[in-house]
Amino acid sequence: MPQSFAPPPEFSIDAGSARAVLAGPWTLANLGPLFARRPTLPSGPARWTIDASRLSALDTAGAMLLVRVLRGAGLGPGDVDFTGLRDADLRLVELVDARSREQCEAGEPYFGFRAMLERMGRAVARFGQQARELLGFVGLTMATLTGVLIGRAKLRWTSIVHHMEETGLDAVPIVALLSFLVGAVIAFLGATVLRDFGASIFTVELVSYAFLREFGVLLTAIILAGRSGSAFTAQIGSMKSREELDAIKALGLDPIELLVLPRLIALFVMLPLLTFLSMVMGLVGGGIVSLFALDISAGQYITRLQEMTEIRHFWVGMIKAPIFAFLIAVVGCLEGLKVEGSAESVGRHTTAAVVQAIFLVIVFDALFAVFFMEVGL
Amino acid sequence: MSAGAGERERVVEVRGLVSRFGTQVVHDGLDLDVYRGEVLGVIGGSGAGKSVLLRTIVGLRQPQGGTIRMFGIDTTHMDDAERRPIERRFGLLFQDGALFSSLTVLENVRVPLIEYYRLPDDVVDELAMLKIRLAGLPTSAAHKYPAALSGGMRKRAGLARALALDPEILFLDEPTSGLDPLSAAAFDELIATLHASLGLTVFLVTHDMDSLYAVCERVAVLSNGRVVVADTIDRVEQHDEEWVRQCFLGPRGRSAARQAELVGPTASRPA
Repeated sequence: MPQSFAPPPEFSIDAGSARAVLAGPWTLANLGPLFARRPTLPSGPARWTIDASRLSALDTAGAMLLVRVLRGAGLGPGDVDFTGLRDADLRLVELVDARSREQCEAGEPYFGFRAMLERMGRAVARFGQQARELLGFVGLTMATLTGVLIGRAKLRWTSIVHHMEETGLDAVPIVALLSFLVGAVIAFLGATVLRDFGASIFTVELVSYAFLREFGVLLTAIILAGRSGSAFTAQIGSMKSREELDAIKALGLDPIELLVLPRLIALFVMLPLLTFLSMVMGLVGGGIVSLFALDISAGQYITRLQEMTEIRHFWVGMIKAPIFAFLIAVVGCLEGLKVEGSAESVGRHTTAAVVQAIFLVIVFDALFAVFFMEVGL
Repeated sequence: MSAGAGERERVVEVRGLVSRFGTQVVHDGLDLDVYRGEVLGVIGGSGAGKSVLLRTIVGLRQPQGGTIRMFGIDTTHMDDAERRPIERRFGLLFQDGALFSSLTVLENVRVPLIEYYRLPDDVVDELAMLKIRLAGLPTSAAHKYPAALSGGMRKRAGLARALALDPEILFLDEPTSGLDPLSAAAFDELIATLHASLGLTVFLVTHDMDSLYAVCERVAVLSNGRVVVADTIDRVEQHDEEWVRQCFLGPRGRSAARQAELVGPTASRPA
């Protein structure tokens, strides 16, 4: 059907003889201007004749326009006489007329102040529900873990080792590099401020306290929340959306035991190890800056570390690692299990998992800080 | 429609198509014609390259050899911009509808209309609604999201979107797979009705023997990387290629044929 060089579609009426003429291609590609003109048929006593002998093409859009014009005059295709309309086109007009007679119901509008209040209310309710779900899931995971300990559930070693490699070993370069850089940045900060007091040597304490107590574990947890927590959600979520989880259940297996526990245990083991790496790399970063910017030699740096920094700071940082690992793994897996049907849902829950995991990690870190301060560690 | 001297106009012409995935050859010099106004069924065993053929014709996949002409224009090596005017002229229904999950059914159907043409808003809505009804969906489904629809309804919604631009040719990728027999039969009937009333050319990839008998005027059988036979279903039944015989003379083929004889074809076959 050539469309490019065709004349524009036309609609003209001659009220005297009650004739309307359709001409040109009445197709979607050409009808824009004619639709915008909103042609009408004056209603009168006479029976209209519609001359379509010069109509070169008709598609559903054209048929719809014709039906609109007729309906504007309170008419249907049966109330007018067609001349020169091909049978196929007449059938199309009748089909379109029949189909568009069925009433269309409007969708619910979703704006306004009340809708906003409603959304806020829902968001609060959802927050509460999420907290309850998380708590419930923690309990379920713990119960399954206990099942493993007393021998009622199996531990999947292959899966655990696989996830240890994925979440732990593969994360070594990024954790090491970022920790090194942050360590260097902290040393620079210390150097700038402390030099004015002639207390540059305290940079060593600044770096070591910061990294052993807080930054080592926090940095690692945040990297792993973004890297592994999201991966857990995406992996489990895409399995859920393809009904693989239902298949697991239908085979009489437990998705918690099969999917959640290996990820949890892997992260449980790897996050403390990565935290240790992060601490070491942070101290190295601080040391390098001290060496080049503050003229503190490596020997001095290490001696100062050993003399001034007590081992308890290391343990304060380290004890948080498994707890953060637990939070990240549980949130990641739970969000994955909450995925429904569509691929869009996987993306939404992955985002939610990362945000929630980082949120929880920082909240718990703050709680730990208050606790350690109270007990004087 | 301009039918050439005695010969029917070819909407799609595939010549010497070669498709390879690594060392695995899917199509090896495949030839196929689709004539204007017909319903062509494409069948073949799993892995025979039916879906690959469809994706290659519509330009989602570059072939390793051969040419494809659509509407008489060589589209084999077109870039995206050149392809766009061609894309408006065909509709494509994916296996599971491939609806945009963040949009309602109505919005899904509106997408091509808004993207390609400047039309008043109410006209777009009315056209989209018309397509939804033509696809046999209740109007209440128009404001639902794809996740809230059943498999059959998702396919109908996908069909409504494929019909949005009044295509000349409609490509359907296994439209009845995953549907219950009643929904599948209703879908076949819908295709036959649309074919008859809109004058569509339909390229139907299917596994479903009932669909072949119910709607297809011509059937092309894919085997070993080529079209073994492309003819009316009565003649294809008589063909003596191994896969064709097993397929048509096997229990499913026979029962579908018997069914077709009892009910009579729903499609209006040309005399």
